Amino acid sequence: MNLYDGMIAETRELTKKWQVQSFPYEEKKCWREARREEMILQRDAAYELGGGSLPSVNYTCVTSDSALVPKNQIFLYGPELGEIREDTAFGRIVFLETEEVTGEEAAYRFIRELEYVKYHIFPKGYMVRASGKGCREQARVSREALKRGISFWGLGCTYIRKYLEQPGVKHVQILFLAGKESLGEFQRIAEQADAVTNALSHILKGMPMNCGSCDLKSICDEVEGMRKLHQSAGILQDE
Amino acid sequence: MDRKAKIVAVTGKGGVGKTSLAAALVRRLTEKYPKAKILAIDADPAVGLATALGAEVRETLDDVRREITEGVSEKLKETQDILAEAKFRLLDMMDERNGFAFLAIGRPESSGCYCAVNSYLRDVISMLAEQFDYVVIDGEAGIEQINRRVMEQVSHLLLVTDQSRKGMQVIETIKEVADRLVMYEKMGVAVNRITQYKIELQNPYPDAPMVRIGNDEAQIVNDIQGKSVFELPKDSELIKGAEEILQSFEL
Repeated sequence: MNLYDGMIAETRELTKKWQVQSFPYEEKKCWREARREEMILQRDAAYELGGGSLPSVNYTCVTSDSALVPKNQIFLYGPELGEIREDTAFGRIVFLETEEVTGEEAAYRFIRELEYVKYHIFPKGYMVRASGKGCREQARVSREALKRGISFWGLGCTYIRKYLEQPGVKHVQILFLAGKESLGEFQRIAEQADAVTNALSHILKGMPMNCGSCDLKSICDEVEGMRKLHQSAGILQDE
Repeated sequence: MDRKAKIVAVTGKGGVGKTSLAAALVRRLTEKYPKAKILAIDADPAVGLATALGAEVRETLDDVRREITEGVSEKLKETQDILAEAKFRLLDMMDERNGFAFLAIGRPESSGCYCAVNSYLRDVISMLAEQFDYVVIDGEAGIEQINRRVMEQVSHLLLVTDQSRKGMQVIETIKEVADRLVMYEKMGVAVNRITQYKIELQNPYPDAPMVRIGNDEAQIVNDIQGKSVFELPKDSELIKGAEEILQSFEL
């Protein structure tokens, strides 16, 4: 699985310009989870990450190349939760090293299931809402959770623990972007990642594909491995 | 520990003061339980509860329904994505003020053929309601207008009438429907806008509490001036009546 490798590399390149704090995954550091979704009203929230018209981005990249995601780790670009004082731009990006998955259908379902993990994590005092349509993720952070010491490190560990529970996941890296003026480049990558996953679903529909007329050609041109996948599906006709 | 939301459905014939009473219930709940999570749902297409509460209607569920329906054919393909999108947009449309959150339903579900999307929205509203401590629903006329899945969770059914025979007949019909559709724990009757004290009011359900609320001049003035129930004096008939209802419901 190397469909998202270029996106991982590009994300790493884009984040190079910022100072980074990196944290190891430690299970004992995991921020506690609520048993179910929790409503945090504005009056109880200290601030919202990625809320309103502020930039916000979320995407997941899967690879089977262990060199790209060699260990479980959390990267924070920007201030820690305890240092943030007001609503701010926000991004959460996930890199997953997984076992090799063969076959489009298996790959599509595998990736989708991993993307849906985010809907099943309920950190206490941290209300997440995600829009798949806009590749956005917003989070309200309660004043109570801040008092109790919630941090990106703890949150990252909680996310990693959840991903590691999924079959086939070997390593996880979580990147938090906070307080950045623009996330436009990351939004573009998010849309590309989304397009690649959707393209896998497109293949599943068994559409006859002639590169000359296929509306996925631009994705195949950009994403290494996509054309190969089409070809292996045996439904690609020569141009 | 899991907690269960107390969901109060306010129903009755049009024009008996349901909306003002629902708003007064919300106000009293916010005063009694300032730390509680309270949700007011306006299930009347005319969105009168918003005015009564001084809430802002940015969008209604109907707007979200249409937007998601368009998205389903474009980017939203999987159930989990649609549910997440519905939740995302519902939180966008929610107005928060004076210690409560407010949602407007807008037009009823039958106004469009969006069966699947309606089903997802029902799930999301139902899940959302569970995340609050108290939910007050102002229904259109009967409960059949209100989101079925939310109504299935109703814990307290309030039948509102005036002194008219017609009003009483309507609540009897509503109760019959409710008995079939809703698993409510408690039911009560509120006779609102009482102006005539010579004829004794009979409680059609002697086992259920019946609260009598006199005609409220202060509320009439408030209505004319377009003010919210939060601007009513504490000792107004409506606010006192709302308190009595909450007490009879042990809320």
